[in-house]
Amino acid sequence: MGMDVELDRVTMRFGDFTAVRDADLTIRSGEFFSFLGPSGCGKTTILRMVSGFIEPSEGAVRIGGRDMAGLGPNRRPTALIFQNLALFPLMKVWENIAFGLEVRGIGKAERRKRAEQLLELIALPDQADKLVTELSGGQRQRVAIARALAVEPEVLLLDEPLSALDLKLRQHMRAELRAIQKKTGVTFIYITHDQGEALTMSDRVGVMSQGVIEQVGAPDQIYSEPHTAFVATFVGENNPFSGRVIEVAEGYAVIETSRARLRARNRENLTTGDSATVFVRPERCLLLDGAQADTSLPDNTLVSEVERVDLEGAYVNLFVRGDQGRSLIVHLTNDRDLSKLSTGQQVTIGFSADAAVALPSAAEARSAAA
Amino acid sequence: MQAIQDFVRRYGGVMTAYIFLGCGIWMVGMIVLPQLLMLEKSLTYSDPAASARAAQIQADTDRLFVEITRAERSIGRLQTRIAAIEAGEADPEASGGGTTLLNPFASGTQQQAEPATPDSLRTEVAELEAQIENNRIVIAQNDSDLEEARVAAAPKYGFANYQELVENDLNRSIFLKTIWASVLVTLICLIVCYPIAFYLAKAAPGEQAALLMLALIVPYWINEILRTFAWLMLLSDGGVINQLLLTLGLIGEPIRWREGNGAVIIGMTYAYILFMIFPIYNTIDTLDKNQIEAARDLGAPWWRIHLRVVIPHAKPGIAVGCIMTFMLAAGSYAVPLILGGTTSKWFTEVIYDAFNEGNDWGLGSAYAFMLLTTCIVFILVMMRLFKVSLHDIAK
Repeated sequence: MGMDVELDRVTMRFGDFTAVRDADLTIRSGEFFSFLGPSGCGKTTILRMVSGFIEPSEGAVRIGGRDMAGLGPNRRPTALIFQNLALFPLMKVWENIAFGLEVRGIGKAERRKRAEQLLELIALPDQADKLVTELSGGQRQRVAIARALAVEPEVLLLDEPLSALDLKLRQHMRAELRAIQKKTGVTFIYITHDQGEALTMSDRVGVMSQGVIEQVGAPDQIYSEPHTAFVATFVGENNPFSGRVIEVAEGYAVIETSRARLRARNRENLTTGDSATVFVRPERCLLLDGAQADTSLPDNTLVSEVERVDLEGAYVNLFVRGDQGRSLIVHLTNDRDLSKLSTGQQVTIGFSADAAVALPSAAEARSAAA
Repeated sequence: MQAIQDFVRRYGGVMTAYIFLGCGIWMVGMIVLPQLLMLEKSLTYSDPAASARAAQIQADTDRLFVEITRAERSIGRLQTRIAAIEAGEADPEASGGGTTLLNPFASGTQQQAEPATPDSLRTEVAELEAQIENNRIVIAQNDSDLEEARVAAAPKYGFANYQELVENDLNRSIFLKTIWASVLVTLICLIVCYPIAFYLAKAAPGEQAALLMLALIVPYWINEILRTFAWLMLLSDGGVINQLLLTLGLIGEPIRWREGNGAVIIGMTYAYILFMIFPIYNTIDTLDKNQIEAARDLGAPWWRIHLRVVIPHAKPGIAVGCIMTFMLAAGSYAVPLILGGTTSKWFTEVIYDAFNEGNDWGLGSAYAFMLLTTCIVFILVMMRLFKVSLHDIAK
């Protein structure tokens, strides 16, 4: 029934390069936890430290309360699913699945039985005697999962295992992975740069950037309450406005930007004079027509001209000239006459102060952390 | 036809012609023809007794001819003397010529003998003529005998050369020794090279791997003969290794490496090490490192990782390395020649002797062909045994 994984102030250095800095968190037993970040952010390094292929430079990795220092990957209660799956191409499907059992000295008949049970679990019965190379991408994916589960790990580590699959299959496998995790109760630690994967499957997500875990939280929390500018921009789309705080009051801050004076929530305790960035999600922006503008104005409005209109089907991406040469993106539901929105036309965009968050600017955040 | 058209489309006419010509010369000129010629030679043999007899008859005839010439010359001289005596002149040979000066006593005694008369000289001529006649008859007889002997000695097709190898105890034992010693060399090479190849391909950090590779290759810039002589310096009775061990007091008397096959096997292992390392290195290099890690992650100890993941993957490379090493070892000439002692003759030396010292090309070819065939059969059997197909090797 899964074990918890504790990273106790873990730092990993390769020469002068610090791959992971001071990672400190506990992944609960039976949890589906994702590390989300761009490539090179250190998420794979964390995975390799948990699996035992590398030892942290500082700090400790504990699994089920037990310090893993000095234990190789073959002696940890973890199983890793590699990005390229790393199935053994010269072995049959069932031999692949049963490899971990073979290593543990379990007899052939028993191995075969267990492999078939697992093939049942991953919905691939009758494929036991095929070669791995004869399977499709999605089938191989499942064999890799079965092979890892065969050794009955307490913690299953997955290194972007879906990245090689096409979109449809990927979406299908997401659901499947989630189902397997629920069924087995094993702690899943999932590495991905795909926020869609992280947000849909995970109980909790840790967002990483440049070796630092920026924020840990439930997917909706990560999306709606980003703690840093990096999280705000990396997870989902966001419209940034950079400026300086000119007023703070009752959990809100007013930021003077080059476009307008914007009011936003201030949960990071910015004070007057701090440089800050206001983020507002495209779907929280409103296109105000003349009549509405008169009656109930939202907290923030700005007038700008239309750059482009992209029709996505059910909704429309409206690109308006924004802050510092960037486009301001507004998601509109496709329920209006789009012909009114021609390029160069002046429009008024508005959003409430509650829809916007003010965060320390990225440069500021770095110096504060250091 | 389709294949040729594809070739022309891909490489152009000139290049295609060049490739086909090159392959043709290679296949026919370098492989098929020499083998066929050798096969033909090996199946040709001549009866050694018959050829010996022919040679003897020939020598006899030659001797008889020489006798005839000598007798004819004597007859000429005798007739000159007869003519001189009958003309009332002194017998030109009666005085004994210059011999008097050297040995007056000897010639004096000869002088005592009765002087030659034309009649006695004529008798001598008649005797000589009879001898010439007799010789001519024997020669005529010899000629017909020689014809017969030559027919008997003419090269014939048959398996006598091969039979010789089976019946000749010494050569047969050298032949079998060569095969098993080559197997031994191959095995030692494999045991030495597999860890090195694995280390080079998977464990060594980039720079170190490059250095190690260089260190492996540099000695091979020196030619094989010199390298083998270097081993001779190391392994001979008064060589570096023995002296070192003696000085350290580890051995009481020098180890005689060259007495048995020890020196030859060591030298050969070294000579062919690269032929084993590189094919294995190449295959292990293509193994996804994640597979090794996956096996480890699933709990496999290092030996099982090698047994179940690395070696099965490297099998074609191991096969190629073993085939090359085995073939080169079985066909090696310089190493056994230089490092071998009196008791460690290699079969290639036997073949060389048959060609060059025995001047028996038939026998030499049969030996060479036997060695080649045995090696190929041995390799095919091994490939079947270890379930390696030619297709795997071609990859």
